[in-house]
Amino acid sequence: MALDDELLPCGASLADLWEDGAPAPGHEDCPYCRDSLAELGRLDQAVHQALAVRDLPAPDLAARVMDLVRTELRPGRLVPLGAADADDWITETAATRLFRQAADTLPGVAAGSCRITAAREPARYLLPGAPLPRVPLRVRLEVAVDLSRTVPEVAAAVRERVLDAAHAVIGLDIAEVDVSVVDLLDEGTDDGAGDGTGEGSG
Amino acid sequence: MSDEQPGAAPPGRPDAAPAARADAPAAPVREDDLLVARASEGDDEAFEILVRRHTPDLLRLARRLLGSDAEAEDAVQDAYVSAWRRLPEFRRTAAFSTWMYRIVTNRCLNVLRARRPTQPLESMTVEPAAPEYLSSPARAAESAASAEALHRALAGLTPEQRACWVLREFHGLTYDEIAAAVGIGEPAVRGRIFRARRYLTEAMATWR
Repeated sequence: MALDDELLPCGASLADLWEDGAPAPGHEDCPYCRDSLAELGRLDQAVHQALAVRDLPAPDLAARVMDLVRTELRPGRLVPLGAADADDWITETAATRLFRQAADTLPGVAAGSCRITAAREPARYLLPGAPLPRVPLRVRLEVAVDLSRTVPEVAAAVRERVLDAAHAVIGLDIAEVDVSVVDLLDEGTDDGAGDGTGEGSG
Repeated sequence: MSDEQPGAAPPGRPDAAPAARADAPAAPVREDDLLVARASEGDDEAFEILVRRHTPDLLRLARRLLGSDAEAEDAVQDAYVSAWRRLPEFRRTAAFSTWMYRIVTNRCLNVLRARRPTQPLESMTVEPAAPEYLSSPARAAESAASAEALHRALAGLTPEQRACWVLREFHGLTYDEIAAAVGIGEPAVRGRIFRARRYLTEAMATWR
């Protein structure tokens, strides 16, 4: 019997009856059970009708939300650009946006998390939010891919796009690009050409 | 991955599930995960896609809980701003939609709790009116009248009963997910849904 309960004159628990949606064994022909289920059925019908009513959208709500969000952007750390004596920087968010877009231009590839770190552990501890030092940099990019190509092929293509974009667009030389396949996309080509071995993505 | 199925069919009530599913978000969960990862790293464009994708459903939830368009829009807006701030700590153990349901429900419960004591008893017979969004002239009269009666009846529930019942019947959440969204245990969820059904079946019988 349920915690918060009420018994029908026939002794059946109303809470159980409504949760099960059918009379308990022995109550199949019970008029009390049948009436109580009919009552719930009428409520269900009202729910169906309410779901069928078309509601009015609030067209500007998403835009309003984004106006607020963009007053609180998180640009991330500064990433050094140019020669050793230069004082040029790009925010990590802007750079990773470029890398994700570069990966997204490949068919059957969708980019997720993207991070920029020093290729090797820095000699000194970096404070959170401190600019990255002028050292060789590593990009870690997570992607979801379809099965039109093998994972090593996709990883190589993504790596090439990221390196090209970094060099051509912002003049940033990346030492290493780690590509991790974190998911498979359903859509895209369905010719099943790739064997998707899942290895050699690093 | 059970976290990612907010609309799992309720046991024993096969008639209720399809209706709820019809209204639940048809969001591609997998794609959400990529966007959430991007947004949590500061990609506002990824966040905007999530906002545009989930706003219709969250707004419907807030309207059903609050019965007021203006308050519902404020609740959803506040929930998104809060989500944006908390995204870097979001552990992705739940689907983004489930997480947002939780934040919006929480906001709405706070509004409802703050509203209740100041509302004089006699006003309950006329207030709150059915939400403005149901007043469209293009509606099907029968459905709209029934929906209005139902929304008026919802005002007679406690905030928690209302939240549990709406999440269950309109949005197809599991008891488990409702417990997390409302911040109470699963037996308490079952109890509140039963009380809500008890009240609403009587209210709807009067209407007819």
